[in-house]
Amino acid sequence: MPFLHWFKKKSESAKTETKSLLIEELAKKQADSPETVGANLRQETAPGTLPNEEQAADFQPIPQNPASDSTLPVNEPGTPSATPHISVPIGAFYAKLPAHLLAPIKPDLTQSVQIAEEDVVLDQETQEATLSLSILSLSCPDLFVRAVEGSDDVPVTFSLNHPKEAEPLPADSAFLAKPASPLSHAAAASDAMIEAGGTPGGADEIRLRLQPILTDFPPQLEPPSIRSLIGTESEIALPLALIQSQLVHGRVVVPGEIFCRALPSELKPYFEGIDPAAEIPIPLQEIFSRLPPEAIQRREDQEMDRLEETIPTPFSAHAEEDAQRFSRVPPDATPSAIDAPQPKDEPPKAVIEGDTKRLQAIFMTDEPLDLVKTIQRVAELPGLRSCILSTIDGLKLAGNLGDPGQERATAALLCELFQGTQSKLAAVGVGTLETITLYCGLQQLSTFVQGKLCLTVLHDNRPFKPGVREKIQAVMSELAALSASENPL
Amino acid sequence: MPIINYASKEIQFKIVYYGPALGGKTTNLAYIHSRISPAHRGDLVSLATAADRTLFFDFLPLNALTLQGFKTKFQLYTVPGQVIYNSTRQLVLRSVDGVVFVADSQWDKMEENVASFRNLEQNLQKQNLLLEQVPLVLQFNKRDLLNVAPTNYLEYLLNNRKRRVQSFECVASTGVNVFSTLDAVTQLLLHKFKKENTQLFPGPGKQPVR
Repeated sequence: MPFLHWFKKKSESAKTETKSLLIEELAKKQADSPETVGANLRQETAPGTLPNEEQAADFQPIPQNPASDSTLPVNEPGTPSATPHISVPIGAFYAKLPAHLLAPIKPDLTQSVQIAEEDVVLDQETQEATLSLSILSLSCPDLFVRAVEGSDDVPVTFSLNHPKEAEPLPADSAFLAKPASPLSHAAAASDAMIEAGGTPGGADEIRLRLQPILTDFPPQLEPPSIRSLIGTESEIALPLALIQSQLVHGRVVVPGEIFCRALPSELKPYFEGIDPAAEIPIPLQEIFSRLPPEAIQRREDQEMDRLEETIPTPFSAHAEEDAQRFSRVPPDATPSAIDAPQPKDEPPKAVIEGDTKRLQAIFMTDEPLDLVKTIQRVAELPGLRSCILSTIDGLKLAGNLGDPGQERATAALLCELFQGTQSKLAAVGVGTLETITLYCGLQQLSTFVQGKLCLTVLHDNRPFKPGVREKIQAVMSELAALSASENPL
Repeated sequence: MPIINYASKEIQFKIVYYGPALGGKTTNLAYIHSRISPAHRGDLVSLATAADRTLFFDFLPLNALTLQGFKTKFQLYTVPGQVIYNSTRQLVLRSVDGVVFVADSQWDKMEENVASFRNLEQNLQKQNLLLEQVPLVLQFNKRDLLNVAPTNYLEYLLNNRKRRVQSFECVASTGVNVFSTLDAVTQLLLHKFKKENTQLFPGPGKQPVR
């Protein structure tokens, strides 16, 4: 029985803290007492517990005694449970459910489901009910393709007055405290599409390149045949509403069924074995490269935090100092430095003549830096023991790794390994290689290559401390840019 | 609530750096620690695993300005970002006066950012606090990387509530906007403190902070 199966799954999952609060609460309550999550939620959101009701506009304090409202449908006589239930037609909330969780067969929307009154937070003023999707899925498991948990477990709000006309909220109302509202768009789009037997066309769809989607394809779903599609230039048209409604969650997935249906016909055979209910992640970066700008809109009723006066804090001086220092170092310096042309057949010179202010900014020092001092400072970074800078041809420029006989061979080997790996990865298209770390016995060595420069660092028995790797990369970018400039190292 | 010690004439504020795992919270504190004069700060206490994931929390005490004759102290904390350490996060959040939410700007961290922000909201609710009541500043970290989401999307994800908070693009590893963020949250909490403690700040004409 699906209900029991899901219940068991939820109880198990609640043993770790990796599940959402609602799931934790549900499992605890179900194990310890007949009370339900709703009671708990009410305790946390009850008006009496809100320290400042004026500031609670976003939370809409909700009356706690729905049974006292005679207009609400309370449980029908003969219901076996001792807990009061309310009867809600499926049509009241069906359009609010996330499309990717819905079972393919559309239910009878006039049919009612029983929901424990304690699990529902009712707003008497607007006649709206709110409950978590996981609880709703327990009340009517047949509507869902699988158990609702994790990031899918969002609150669902629906009207009790107009159960069959659950109107979607405007797109710009999508925001964290009410994440369920945009999902109505997805459900509506999905419904329309399923009924029409295809993807909606025209402006309602977004065309995305298939290649980035395949790169992020979940390994457990990946049929071996699709490996031959790497490098494909095909595109796929997906319902814009389905994509747009999920942007607020920071992750976009489409059901396998919709994904397969949207594929060009010549590619469909490759994906035949995919579970229709499987979630296919769609890379955000790809979506945003094609998304219309108006798709992401700020709330119009936002109020900015404005302070009446500026209070000098102990950190104001540092903030100003940093602002001045960093205004001389444009944040986009790194990419341009990476792209800087490298002189051919000429190793970088070992004298700094040029502007080293950026290097000084990286190390937060006013002391002028030459190459030796720069490499010394790298070696002094937390968690590092020593380092050596060489050219990719093996010419040592500064620093050391310890044994002079071994250091050159080690640096050359790592540099060669880095370049070989980098070229192979470029062919696969998995992004730019930044660092290689090797664990050799008790020693750990990392290599950075930029332009014609290769930096190898010896760790102090630990991986990089936070920020150290990024700092070294910034130094390497700067050194590479300086070595390619008119005033090289 | 800040701790006010009338006997020793001290006010203590607690600022918590919150956010997803490996987002740069500890790096923020490390940078602040490196820039503040040793005379005005304590040691940075950091309990990390071998992989440099914060195990419990980081702690940095700062002694600072004088407020109406009271010496103020700021205690900066980070929380472990990993999902499993929620109890620790709840513990660290107790009696918080200001929050810096450190979001990771990388595309593949968007879902973690949202989850962490929701977790912050839920953990504050457990203390009967609304997010709207807590001085909050957003920091979009790692802006120097290439695979970062545009700030308008980060704003849409994390700053689309009725109350819009200040946000900063930051590179914590090099210090860009680290102090601006701290300065902003400090301003917010000092304003709130001033508003809630009128007996300490009797009139608008007086200079409250020296």
